[in-house]
Amino acid sequence: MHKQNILENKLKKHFNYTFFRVGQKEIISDIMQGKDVLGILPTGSGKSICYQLPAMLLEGVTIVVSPLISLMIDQVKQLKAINYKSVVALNSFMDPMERRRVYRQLHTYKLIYVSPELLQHETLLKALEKIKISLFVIDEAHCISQWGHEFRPDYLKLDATIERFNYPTTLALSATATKHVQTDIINALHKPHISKQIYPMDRANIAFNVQEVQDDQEKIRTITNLLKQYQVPVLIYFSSRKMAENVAVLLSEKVPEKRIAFYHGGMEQMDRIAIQQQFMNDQLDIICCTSAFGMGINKNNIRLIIHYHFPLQIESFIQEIGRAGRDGRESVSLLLMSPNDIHLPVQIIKNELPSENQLIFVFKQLANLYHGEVRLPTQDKQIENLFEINETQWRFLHYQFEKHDMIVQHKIFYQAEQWSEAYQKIKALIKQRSILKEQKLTEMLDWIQQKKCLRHHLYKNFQSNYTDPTAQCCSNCGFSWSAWQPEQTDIERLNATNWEEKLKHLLLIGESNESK
Amino acid sequence: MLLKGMILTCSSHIQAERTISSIYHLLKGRKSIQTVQDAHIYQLEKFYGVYKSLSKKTFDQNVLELENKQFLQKNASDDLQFKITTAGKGWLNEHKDNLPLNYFNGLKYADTAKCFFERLILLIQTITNSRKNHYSFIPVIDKIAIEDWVRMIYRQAKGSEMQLLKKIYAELYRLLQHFTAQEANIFVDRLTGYKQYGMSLEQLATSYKRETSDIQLLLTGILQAMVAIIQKDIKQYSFLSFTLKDLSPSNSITNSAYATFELLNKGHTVEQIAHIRNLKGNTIQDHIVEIALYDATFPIHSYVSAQAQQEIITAIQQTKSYKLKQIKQYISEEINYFQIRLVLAINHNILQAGDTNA
Ligand SMILES: Nc1ncnc2c1ncn2[C@@H]1O[C@H](COP(=O)(O)OP(=O)(O)OP(=O)(O)O)[C@@H](O)[C@H]1O
Ligand SMILES: [Mg+2]
Ligand SMILES: [Zn+2]
Repeated sequence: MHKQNILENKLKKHFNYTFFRVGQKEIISDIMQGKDVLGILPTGSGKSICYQLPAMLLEGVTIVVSPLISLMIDQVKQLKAINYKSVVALNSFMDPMERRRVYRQLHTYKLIYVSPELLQHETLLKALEKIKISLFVIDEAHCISQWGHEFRPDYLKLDATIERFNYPTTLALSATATKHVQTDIINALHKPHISKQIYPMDRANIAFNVQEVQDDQEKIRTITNLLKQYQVPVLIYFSSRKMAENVAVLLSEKVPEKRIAFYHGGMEQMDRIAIQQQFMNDQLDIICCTSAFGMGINKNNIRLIIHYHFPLQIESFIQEIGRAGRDGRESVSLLLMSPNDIHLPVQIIKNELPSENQLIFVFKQLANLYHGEVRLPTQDKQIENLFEINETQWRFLHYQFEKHDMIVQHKIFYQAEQWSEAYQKIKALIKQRSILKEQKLTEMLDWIQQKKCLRHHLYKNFQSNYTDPTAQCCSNCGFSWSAWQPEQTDIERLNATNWEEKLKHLLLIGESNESK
Repeated sequence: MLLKGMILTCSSHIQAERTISSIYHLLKGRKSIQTVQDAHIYQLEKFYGVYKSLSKKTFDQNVLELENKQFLQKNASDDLQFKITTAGKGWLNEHKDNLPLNYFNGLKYADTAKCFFERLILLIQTITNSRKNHYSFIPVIDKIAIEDWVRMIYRQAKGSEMQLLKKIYAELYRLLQHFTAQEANIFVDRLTGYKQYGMSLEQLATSYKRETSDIQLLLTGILQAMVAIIQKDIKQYSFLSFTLKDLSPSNSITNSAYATFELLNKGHTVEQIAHIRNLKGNTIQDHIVEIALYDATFPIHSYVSAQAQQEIITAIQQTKSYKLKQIKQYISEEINYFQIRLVLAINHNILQAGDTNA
């Protein structure tokens, strides 16, 4: 009892929250007792606190493996913003000089975020072995499973990493892990006795809508009407960058009173931060985005998530709608489906795995490198040019080559028989994974065409039950827009006209008590 | 429009002696001997690397539009080479005042101007937030080198933020007088302050009804011009000149050329290297030429005899051209293109001094 209160005090002290949310305290108590934990909690429920608080309390360093660089950088920035300074994000985009400097000072951090790729580098591993690691966290742990929606082969090597660090307390977290995926996580980590803190992942404050439309024009009309009606933060998801850009422009013309921008992975880093922060700051109302805008985003009053294109898997959908209503208030998801949309995913799925011809070519190039006594290039761009494949495809193959001992630390080892055997195995695997992706797609399409309760069917592969919705349930149970009346956000516009005025305003010139 | 203006200007300097993609490489600032050399030879240093994010698609599309408008014309003998037409020259002349091409000085300032702007942006964001006692803001620039610099200034300015902000205001005010009102507006809109994040390139494009590429280039040009103005008048810009004091231009050879360089040092021949790296012999030769440009100790004699070198230099002086084909006609059969390019690379400084067709 007494001990429990201590945790609450620490929460207040370090994060200024008064209460733990569901599951947080249970997970944190387990960790503090040195138990390994598998934590499944809904999107936006506060999984990060489950390791950020222990990191403050435990002696030594906490390592967090996180799949998305933007997500890591974001979390580090948010932590630094609340004065949690001894935190760093390590990734392969870091300047080498900078990285070397950080490596020398690893022991001075409490919390180290690291990409799974980098965690395979010997220099980093050696440096980490020298310091005391008290907690090892695997965020978005569904990436460890072939059945998860974002399979990341490097996650499969984490068991070896844990062993190398001499078995620190381990915490695996996810919001989108089916039973099957949970078992995969436990097996991949060799932790049959892990403490399972599994909570329902349904979101009672989000109402689900699927609306069939004729074509893109009807999509635009529907969205335009909604944007005119509601003054709330909105995300609109697209499957292509180009469409996100085009529709953003179109909507700006149709609803000129709204501040609309687009966001995708092809933009310059500075622009990405600017758009994201304008949105966080309520300088923008609507963002048209691809899935690149998602995991890291933690704005608490997003009210409406529109899917202009449907995602390829239920799990991605759950992630994306998970951006809505993080303050617990009533929010809405709307998926628009037109007959033509069926054709979109085929190409996308194709680009995720290498084709047979590509596989043959990569093997050939690899053999050439070997015979020329050349190591594998280290830069992704060079690899992509050499093998003529994209980043996702290379990530997949690289892991396979390592698994079949064809590549060890950028060095190529050739053995004719072994290679032809590996070739066959990889080819079969690609086939199998393509089939899996198609199954996932079918599941998503089935849900869209579902005639019964959308909420029930969305979560049925994850849990047997769900909480009663706080307001409306779904379009199949009956949804009325007029019954949804969210609080409207204010629009504050700056009306400076010339640059002199703008510059003065920006630099705070001419404000009262300027004399400091 | 600015991009088109640049393409036309480049074409008029090059006069179809190079293919159109050499202009693309120039604008992107490709780190290859050929491109750097072109920049010097055709006096296009100012455009080197001014548009690093330019995509081939955007470039090709602009060229196509210029061709359709008959501002550019394909060369009869080689359809990868383009000439500016009289109409094209007319257009350039007509829009001269709206095309701030003289703002640019890429080869000298591309990196300096970029770093200058990043420092300025992060500094303004930091100081204004600190002035408002708001310490939980998300920085728009995310580079340790820039952060370190800003932190150093911030420590000194703490407690007297307003003084620094006034100084920045006064110097930016003076500096922006050198530009048009729209340019000044675009520059200011890009800045980030307290609870007010700057506009993205796309947002600026929409709000000023210009193409994104124009905005990007214009900002680059403004910044490069600013650096030049500040450096000429350090006394008037004591703070802004301080922000660029320790920034120096740099050049380095490409990674790929470097890999070739290492194999060369191990004693491999061009053919061997081509085989090892599974690249074309031509590509390896490109690398060697690039190395020759950047490496002061390059052993030119192992590739071209002293006599052949002299022959090539004489040919260049006589033909007053850097077109390889033309040079080749003036020299002995057995000297090949690769050798001509090497000689050009080694001598680019000397040759440029004697270049008369400015
Ligand atoms: N005990 C708490 N009291 C109040 N707010 C909290 C508490 N715990 C977390 N939060 C807030 O909840 C929000 C969501 O937290 P977090 O980003 O950790 O979610 P998550 O579970 O990791 O979600 P996702 O699955 O989308 O990554 C954050 O703004 C966080 O500050
Ligand atoms: Mg999270
Ligand atoms: Zn329902």
